[in-house]
Amino acid sequence: MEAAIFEGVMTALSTKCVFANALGVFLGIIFGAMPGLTAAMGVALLIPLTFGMPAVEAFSTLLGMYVGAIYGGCITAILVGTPGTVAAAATLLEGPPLTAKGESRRALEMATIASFIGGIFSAVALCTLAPLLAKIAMGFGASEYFAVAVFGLTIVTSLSSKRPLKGLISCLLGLFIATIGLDPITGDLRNTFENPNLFSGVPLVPVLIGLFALSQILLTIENVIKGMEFTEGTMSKQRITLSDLQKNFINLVRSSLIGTVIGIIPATGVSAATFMAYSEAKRFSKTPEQFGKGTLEGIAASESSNNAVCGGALIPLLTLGIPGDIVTAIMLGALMIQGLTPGPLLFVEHPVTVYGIFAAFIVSNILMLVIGLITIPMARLILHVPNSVLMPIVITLCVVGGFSVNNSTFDLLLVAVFGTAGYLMNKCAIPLPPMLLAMILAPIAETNFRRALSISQNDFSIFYVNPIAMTILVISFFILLQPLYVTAWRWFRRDRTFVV
Amino acid sequence: MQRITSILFSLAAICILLFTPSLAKAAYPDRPVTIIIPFGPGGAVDIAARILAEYVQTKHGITFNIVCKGGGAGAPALLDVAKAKPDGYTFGFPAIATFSTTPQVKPTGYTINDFRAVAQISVMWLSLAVNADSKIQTVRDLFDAAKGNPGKTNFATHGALSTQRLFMAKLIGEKAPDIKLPHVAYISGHEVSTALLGHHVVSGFGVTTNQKPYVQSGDFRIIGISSPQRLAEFPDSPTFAEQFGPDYVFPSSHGLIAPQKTPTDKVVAMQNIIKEALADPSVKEKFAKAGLTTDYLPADEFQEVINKVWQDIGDMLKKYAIVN
Repeated sequence: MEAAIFEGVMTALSTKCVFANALGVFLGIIFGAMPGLTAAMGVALLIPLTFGMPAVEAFSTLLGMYVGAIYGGCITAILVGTPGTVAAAATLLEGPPLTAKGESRRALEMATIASFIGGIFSAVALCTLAPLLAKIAMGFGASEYFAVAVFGLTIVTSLSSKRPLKGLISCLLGLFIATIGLDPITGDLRNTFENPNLFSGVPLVPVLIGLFALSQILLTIENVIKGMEFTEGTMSKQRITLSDLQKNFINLVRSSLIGTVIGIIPATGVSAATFMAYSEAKRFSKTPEQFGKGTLEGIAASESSNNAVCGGALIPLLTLGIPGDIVTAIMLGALMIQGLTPGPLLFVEHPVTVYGIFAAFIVSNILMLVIGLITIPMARLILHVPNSVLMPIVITLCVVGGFSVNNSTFDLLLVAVFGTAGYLMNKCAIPLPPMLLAMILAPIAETNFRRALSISQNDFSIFYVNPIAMTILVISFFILLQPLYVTAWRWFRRDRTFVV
Repeated sequence: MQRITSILFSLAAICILLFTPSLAKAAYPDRPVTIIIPFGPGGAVDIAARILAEYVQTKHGITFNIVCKGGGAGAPALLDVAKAKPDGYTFGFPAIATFSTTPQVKPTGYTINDFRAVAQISVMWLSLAVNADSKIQTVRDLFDAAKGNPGKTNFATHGALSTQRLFMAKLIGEKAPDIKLPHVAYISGHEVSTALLGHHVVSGFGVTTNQKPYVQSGDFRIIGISSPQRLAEFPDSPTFAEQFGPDYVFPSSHGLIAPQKTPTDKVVAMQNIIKEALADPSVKEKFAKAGLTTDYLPADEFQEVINKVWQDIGDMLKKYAIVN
């Protein structure tokens, strides 16, 4: 046992493996930072190269790519307000305002350190509790998934606490868009207008790029037409301080925990995790009114949770052979190519390889921290580029990103449509995040709601007989009503002071 | 004089330009070949295509440009193939079952007549599994359980229009019309396995490639496979054919197809390239490692397979009216 651990760790630390890992992380950061190039794509492209490598070396490359790509999305999100990956969608709410304040370096450093902490947190869970946690995750059936998705949707209340009605409008629009495509249970077509491109629904990446990147460019163009001066990005030298980290300690741990848990539950996804962590950070924050205006807390929550998902998703993959997301599904293929059958026996039959993979994952996170901190000063040079040059480049990135996910020109049309929609919603002060969140969570909620009913043969008791599902649904209900009873409490307090 | 020279030069240049392509034609393919895959990156078909691409690149210096265009039940990708210039530089690599289902249910803008077969590459077999600790040993046992405990016994597949669901509808319709076995739809084969592992469904209907690891780990027992004979890797798993008759053989075939008007010489050339690649021991080994078989069939035989699958799926869709 100890010998196997030692040997595995030594393999992962061999020059070849560390080099492969660093290459993976470096390419991953590039893939993550480029809109439209996803972690899944990067890992899939690397797999043929790993055919000839020994298992630990192959996984050093692949895990490096995975970790790097999930992290890399934050760079473009913070600096140019374009999400590199869906994992950075929540970072997008805080990054650009911080850059506008001239705190880009602080934001990037926080994102890097938070990503590292999230990754390491999940790695510890992976190394110590993997088989136990995987068993618990197996208990999650359709009704529990439905409950988790509903819980996620309650975040809309905290994302739009100032304008509940407009937040709701945005959320409902998102829910409606999510109905487009093949009905998941019967196979009927819904709202597709017989266009084959819409059969599998509206893809997320073009929507994300349109809503959050293109709409911002349209706003900038409007300002130019109005004759406003460009505000040049200021490059203050302000760096992250120890007290920033101390203040966010609980936030980081909480967000890492959320990310790890969501990662373990298969098929919930990294974007849902970031929004949950972001929303919880806001709920527990002493200064919730700062959220959306550029606060480090939001970045810390979003970035630590998305990298924690990586380690979380590896737990069911390695212990049960269950992939938690697309990237781990591709890695399942890679494991099979290496002749390793994931499952409980993997730990017995190939202990050196398993501990090697664990160690490689930790190495990936350390390399991500190092490479990330080295690249930050260079990446910030983007801000020296005048807006009149930068904006066309960003539009190009939007177009390339929208196209490359499915090699589809139809997706470019979606970028344009959602860019315009995002611009108009901005003008009407309708918040964008609830719409995106609804589009991410509605398919999970709907499919599992109906799946649960087809398992129980339309008996609704499946949702309240089950203790886990019931608990999550009750908590969601109270969170949903939170604005109501907070208002009532304040009114009651004021009323009482009147009496006194 | 100078003018005449310049005219002569231009004529010479035109001649060179005219003749160069005809000289180069001798060696098809002389530029990258696009292979469109109707799945997202990283799946079994993508890996198969990349193994082949690696082989033809090192062996013949031919570049396969692999384009993954997932989504839309495969329709957008295959529509691209159907509409591509039929010059032998664009091929599709679909699962024939999905290829045959979508256009017979929804208007997709293409039919079987828009394509011609090039070569079959790999075959997967449908497999129905239960948990190893279940009392169910055969498909009949599953039907009996459904009869004895209506509504509690169910089967899961990867989608509302999956081939597995159609296959099961046909089986129940013909062999046990009085039972009720509810279908539970998931998104992917992996999700079906996860649900079965967690005992959330009673049986899971997928392909042997996906279920193999769980059979090896002792979690699943396969109670029916759609192959004509028992497979060497699952000697204890009965086939549907031996339980219900030879009508219940269904190969999930995968291979290259081209736009209908692609010239025959190019199709034959590509067919032979694939034949040679699939006969190569290192390619075979890599396919096996990825859990895939190499089942080469030439264009004419593959065309017959496609016609039959198209016909069978059309019949099942009409007869069992899963789709309104």
